[in-house]
Amino acid sequence: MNNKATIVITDFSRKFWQTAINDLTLYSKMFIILEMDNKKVIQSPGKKEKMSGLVIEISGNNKLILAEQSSSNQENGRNISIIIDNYCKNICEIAIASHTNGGRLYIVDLPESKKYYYKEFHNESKEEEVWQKIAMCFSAIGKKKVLQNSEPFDLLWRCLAPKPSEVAHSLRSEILTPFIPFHLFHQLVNKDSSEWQNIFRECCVAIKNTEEKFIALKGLRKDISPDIKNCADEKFNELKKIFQKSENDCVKNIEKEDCLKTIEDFAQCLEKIVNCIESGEEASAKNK
Amino acid sequence: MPKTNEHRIYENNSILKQTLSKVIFSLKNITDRIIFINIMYSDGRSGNTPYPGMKYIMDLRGKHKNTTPVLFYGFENLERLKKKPEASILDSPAIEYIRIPFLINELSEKIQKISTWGIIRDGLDEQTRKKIALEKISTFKHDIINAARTIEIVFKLKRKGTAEIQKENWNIVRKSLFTPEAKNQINKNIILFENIKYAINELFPKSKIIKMKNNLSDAENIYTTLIKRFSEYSEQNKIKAISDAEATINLLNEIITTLEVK
Repeated sequence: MNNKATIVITDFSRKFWQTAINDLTLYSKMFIILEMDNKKVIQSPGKKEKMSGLVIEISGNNKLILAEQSSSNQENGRNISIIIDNYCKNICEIAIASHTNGGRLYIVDLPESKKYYYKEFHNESKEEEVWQKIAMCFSAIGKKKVLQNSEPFDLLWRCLAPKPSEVAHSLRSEILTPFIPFHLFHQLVNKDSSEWQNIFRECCVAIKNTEEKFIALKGLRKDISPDIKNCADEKFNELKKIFQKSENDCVKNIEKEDCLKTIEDFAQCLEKIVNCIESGEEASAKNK
Repeated sequence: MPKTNEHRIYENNSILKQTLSKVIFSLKNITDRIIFINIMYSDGRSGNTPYPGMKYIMDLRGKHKNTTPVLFYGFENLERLKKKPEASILDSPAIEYIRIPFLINELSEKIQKISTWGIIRDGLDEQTRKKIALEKISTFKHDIINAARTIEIVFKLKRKGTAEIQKENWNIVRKSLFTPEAKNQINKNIILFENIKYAINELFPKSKIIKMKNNLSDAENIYTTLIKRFSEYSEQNKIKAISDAEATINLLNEIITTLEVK
């Protein structure tokens, strides 16, 4: 199971840091980050001066990281990158909640090896869902509950991570995008052969990497009708037949078969799956 | 605005970008004033939105007043997409959407359609304009509340106690107000107010805008005096600092009340 980290960036008050440290002092899996500027400093609880962040290990090896915001975008990027490099080595997915005041945090400034989910929030605002969940985590820290019970952490994570429908849109785009250059290029009258081969090769590579994403997309909702799934499987297999041959065989095949139609049909099937996931989500939201 | 075809295409997948460039170049009716952008295109700076490409164009039109015609593309069905609040920009002038995979003649038709738009004065529809304005105002209001809260620390000086305790409180307040962020907090909002003028103009009458601007300017003047008072500890300076803090917070609260109307 993937470990997760949630980073909350805001203008924490001195009082908050003091309370958090005092309440958690007995907890050994907590690290305080001091003076981050390009220095790697891990300090056990005790010193309270110049504090910039707090790393709390939640049950299941997940992490909740509280980091002091900076008024400069660059400094925010630099500080959070240091935290990620030092404390999130074995973590693939990181959700970040950043207070809108002061400097912003740009995902583009963070280490590329991770997957990020990012939301901004206004603190102390009752209308803000992200803030409500953060406040629950803060309250749990105060009562030491977050150490035994990961529920507040999970709620915050769910609020920051994309909904299944958003994951579905993104997966559909990842699955289909590699085949779109082929679809467009095939329609051109004058085809440059070297470019054509490059595009073709991309599709051959993509078809191998697509199956996992295709399975993930179908698995996002349990009640997708078997008809829709079967139709998508059928079209996916047709696409595999086109691109899983040797290059020469495949070029011959492309001339004979209606490849454009196969890509369009496959896109239609994925559209049905995405719609089903989205409609299901809308219906459950209405019922709540 | 970049002049080559390739640079007017906003697409994260490099091969798709190259292919689109080739396809667009092959069309006879192409003009050099259309932006092609994937609704999912991201420059990594778009914040929370499922359609970063749309957010990118909202900023381009709202903040930078760029009214170049835009052709969005994406896998989503247009009817479903139009129902989503994040996609309101599709109702703006000189905006079209094409669903991928598409046939090249469909693309040609869309380009033809979008090319007929003449010069447009404002690149955003009313709903999108209002939505952007409200977001900016919400951030501004939040910053003003933060500023007022920071200044409230001065009220610590009202506490009674021995001379030593009072001096200690004075030093705590002084230390809090003398950080660069605390010192610049009102000035920062004066700059922000200027930067979001288009949003302010969208939502408030002139009289209220002038009032808010004057309040900010007066608050900055009083706050600067307040900071200066901390150069020396005295009973008189303490009383005046409290009075300055009250005056500054009242001015900021008036701005907050005005902003709450929307």
